[in-house]
Amino acid sequence: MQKGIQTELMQNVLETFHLTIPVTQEVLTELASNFTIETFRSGDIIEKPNTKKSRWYFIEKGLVRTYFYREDAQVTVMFFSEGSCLSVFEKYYYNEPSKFYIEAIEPTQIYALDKKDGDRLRSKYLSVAELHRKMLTQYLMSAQEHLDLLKYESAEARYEKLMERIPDILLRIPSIYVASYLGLTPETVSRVRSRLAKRGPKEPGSNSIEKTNW
Amino acid sequence: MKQQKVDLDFLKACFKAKGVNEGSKEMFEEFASKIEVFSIKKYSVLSKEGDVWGYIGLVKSGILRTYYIKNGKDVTEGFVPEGREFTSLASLYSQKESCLLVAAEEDTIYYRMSYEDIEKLCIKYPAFDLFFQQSMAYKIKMFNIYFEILHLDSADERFNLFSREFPNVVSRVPSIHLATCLGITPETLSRVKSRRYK
Repeated sequence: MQKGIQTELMQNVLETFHLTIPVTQEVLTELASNFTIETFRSGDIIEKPNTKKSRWYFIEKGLVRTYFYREDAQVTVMFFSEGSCLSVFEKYYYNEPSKFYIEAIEPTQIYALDKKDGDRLRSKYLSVAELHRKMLTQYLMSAQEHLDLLKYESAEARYEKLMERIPDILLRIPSIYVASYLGLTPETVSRVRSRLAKRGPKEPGSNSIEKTNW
Repeated sequence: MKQQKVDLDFLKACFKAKGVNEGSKEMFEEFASKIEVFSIKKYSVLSKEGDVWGYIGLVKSGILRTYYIKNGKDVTEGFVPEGREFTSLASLYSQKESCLLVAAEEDTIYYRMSYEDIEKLCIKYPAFDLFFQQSMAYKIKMFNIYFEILHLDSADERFNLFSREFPNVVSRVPSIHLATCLGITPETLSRVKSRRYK
């Protein structure tokens, strides 16, 4: 696997974060040379526990989910699609072991930055430090939205909100993962789906955050 | 409302707790100079629905509770003891109005700093930027714990996980609020507690 992506691709990634600190050509080139492109098939594990390996991922194309095992069963935590980014934060920021898996659930292409390089570059360049801050804030925002969903909404409302936010992507996620993600059983999800189908479509709500992962 | 002096040793301890061992005297002094100190009584409320937050708070002593009113019910999001930060992420990310409410569960002293000042310090001092990123990463860790709690089926398991991860909170907050935080009823929580503390 070769390290280094084209500077144009790097530029595209940076543009999604609206950095206020200008990125010089030097920084752009060095940053681009530290990312790798990787391709995964559906079902491939991108990162697993029990490895020290830790990276930031930017999803160029495809769909991934994070999950952990609780007594032999997988609990799906979050999904990430094009334009979003993620990392296993216990490892990246705290050097702590983590039980999270990252798995591609479609053919997926990502740009990855290894922690070693990330640590070095963010202490070297203010713009890369800002990039990390922005990536963290984006992730936190989505995690907050999802936690609110799990905590405050009824079963039907959870599914409805998800339908509002990510109608197209929802069709791409196997329903067994959707159920786990929403803290519901697959039976409940089926019930809610058919109830909503009978009722008919609502007016689509507006996405409050652009390019959000959820 | 500068009622009290900022405790520099406390700030240094917060840095250490997040694994940040650097930080010049100059940085800590500038950090302290941007902080407003607030002192509030138990049960008072810091914010109201519709506020646009422009700041991050850090608890110096005492414990705060973050919550929402949903369908007329008070549902606790979490608790903020000493050394922990709080803010409205909706406001932080996009300057939107927030529905987040914050109340004190004990007499509390907290420090406040604006997003602009935080951003300026991040740019000026790498150690501060590191501290800020570690704080955000810690918040993500906390969310993961809450995700895990909410995916547990048994109330006992939820309570046990919460107590294990937040040992200095359980005895200091009213059961009714701890219950909503865990997604269980107060009655269930009473049963869980009596099973555990027999």
